[in-house]
Amino acid sequence: MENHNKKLGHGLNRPSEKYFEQLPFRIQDRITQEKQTENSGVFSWNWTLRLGTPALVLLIAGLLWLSPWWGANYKVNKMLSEVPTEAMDQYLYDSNWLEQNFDVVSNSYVLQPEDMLQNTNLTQDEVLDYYPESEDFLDYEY
Amino acid sequence: MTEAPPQHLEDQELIEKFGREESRNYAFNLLMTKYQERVYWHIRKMVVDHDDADDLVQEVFVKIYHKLEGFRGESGLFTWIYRIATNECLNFLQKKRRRFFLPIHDVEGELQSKLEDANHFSGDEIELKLQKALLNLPEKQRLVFNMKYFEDMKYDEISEVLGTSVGALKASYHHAVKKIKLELGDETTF
Repeated sequence: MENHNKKLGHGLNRPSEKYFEQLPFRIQDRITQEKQTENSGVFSWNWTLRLGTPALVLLIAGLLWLSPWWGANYKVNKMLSEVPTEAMDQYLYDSNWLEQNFDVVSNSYVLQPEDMLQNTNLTQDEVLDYYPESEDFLDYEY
Repeated sequence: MTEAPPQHLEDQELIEKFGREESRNYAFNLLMTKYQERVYWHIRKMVVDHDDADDLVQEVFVKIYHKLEGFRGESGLFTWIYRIATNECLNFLQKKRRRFFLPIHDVEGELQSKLEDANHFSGDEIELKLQKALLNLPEKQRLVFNMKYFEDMKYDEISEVLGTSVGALKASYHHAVKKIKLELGDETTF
């Protein structure tokens, strides 16, 4: 192989003559495009934040509200469902719960004057003193 | 007080003009025109392929545009630009390896095959051998060799670009030359 005492070149092909003339313009174009994309990105992000965030919060709140896994009712119902029926019956029996009590609790029963009288220790005369109009429906057996 | 060399003064002027909104694009165009060829060839020698070099040159100048305002002048402008270009090159080659899950020699093999393509290479036989031998070097050794041998940079400048001591660079260049001479098998002087 021949000796090379002169400096070697890298031998890579030169790009076209116009390449270096055009390169600064291409780079400037790219920078301008990036700026525009950034600006539009910031703009759309602002609007996304302004409109999207409240909508998202409302959506999540709505879903949670409708969700069967949310709230105290779910916890109470879940706990009650775990109590055996026999234990429930025994508890109601021991605590003297009557069927009527369920009606009162569930608001399907309207208290009658008799109910109120049963739960008070007033004499009939005292009742009449307070509510003279109740004479019509009180039962005089004595 | 010593006077700054004209090159440095021009760079300083470019930076000042770039700092003003009204002359920013003008200054940046001047800067690109001034340095684009050197940056291009610095990158091209590392990645071989023109299209890859073109992409990287653009990336480098876009980065320079965004970072130039923060340039503190602790090193020369060109050294700073070279550092950005060098990092882009190294990142590109690393990404290429990761993307294709290729061991090191396969990427270098791909670059070597590109050298044999007439679209990329127009040198003579010994230049082709030299380029192939260079592709067998570790990337940093190749960078040192390119900057010292082809670009005639001083060790001080290379040291600023690569952040390596002058002593280590001298050793690196010495090893690179030794390996290349071994591969070329002739009396080529470096």
